[in-house]
Amino acid sequence: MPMLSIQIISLIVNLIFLSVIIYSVLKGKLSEAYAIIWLLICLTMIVFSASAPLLSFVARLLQIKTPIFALLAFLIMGILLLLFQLTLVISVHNHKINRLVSEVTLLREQIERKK
Amino acid sequence: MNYQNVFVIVPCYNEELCIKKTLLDLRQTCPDIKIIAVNDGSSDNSLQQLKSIEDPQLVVLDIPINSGIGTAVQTGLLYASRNHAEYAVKFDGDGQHLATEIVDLLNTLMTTSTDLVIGSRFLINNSGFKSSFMRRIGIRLFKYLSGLLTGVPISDATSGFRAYNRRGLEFAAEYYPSFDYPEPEECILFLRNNFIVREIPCKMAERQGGTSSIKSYKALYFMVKVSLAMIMERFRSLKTKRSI
Repeated sequence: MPMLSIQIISLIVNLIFLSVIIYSVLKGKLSEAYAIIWLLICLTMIVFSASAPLLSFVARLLQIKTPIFALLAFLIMGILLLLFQLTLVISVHNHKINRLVSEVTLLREQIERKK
Repeated sequence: MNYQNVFVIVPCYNEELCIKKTLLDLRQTCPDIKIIAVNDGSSDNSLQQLKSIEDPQLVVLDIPINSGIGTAVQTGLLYASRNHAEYAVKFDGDGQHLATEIVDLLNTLMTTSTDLVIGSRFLINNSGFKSSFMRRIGIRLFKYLSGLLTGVPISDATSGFRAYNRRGLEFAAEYYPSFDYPEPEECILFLRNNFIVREIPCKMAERQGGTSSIKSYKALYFMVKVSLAMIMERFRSLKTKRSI
């Protein structure tokens, strides 16, 4: 598939994805704090998909022979960053949930004792 | 003036150095008010400091896990709303807010049709501590954004020194943005839903103890996140918020 076609497909897909992200935030399904990294990835993909000369320039800088592989590389790096951020958040929430469970258990014991 | 139906919500996170003095100053200035201190899972001795205060009009709400300023404030607002407060004031526990300035906030609520009144550091020249350089850049940005999104530029959208009448309190208790840095978003929320928001000049001091939750390296994230939240709040419907 010629590079131009892949870039056009990438541009369209990312524009649709950008709409989905914004819609999700508006509907309260995705909070703004976590939307930021999705928006960064999406906008980076849109910029590079829309500009073949920019993509070629960056690919040359990174010594990547085929510019479309540079696009893929950015996508993979973005996804890895996102996954890492999510695992950090999950770890914190895990700890908080465990602590809340303990607190609720102790509260139940206090209530039972007072009955 | 009788402030028996006024609840002052004081969120507290790791403010062991100044929380007791802050509450004692508050009590001395406004003997009739009910103080709702919300301990947000502090890891220092803030809770012990709060429990050591002998004050029959002080309620201490102890959140077991640190959940952020938004949750702490919403908890206080819910308590105030459910306990028939006519007015509620949000007052920081770090000593930045001056108890004497509460009178002006409450006068504005009691004598006008304002639902939310915000104490602004930027309406008069000599208003004491005005925050760090990076934060002031953010505040200017939020002023521009609030003007663009609602037609009402709020000069100090990040000010945590604000007061609600009963109508504003019920609304805030239900819909308060319970994530980090909620104040600017709350301004848009109120304006978008046709509440009357007014700013009055007030003085603030430098924080007396503890550390700010907005560290310098988080300043950029703070500006981006809050700006995005303000924009989204402008276009989000109440129906959506109810269903979350």
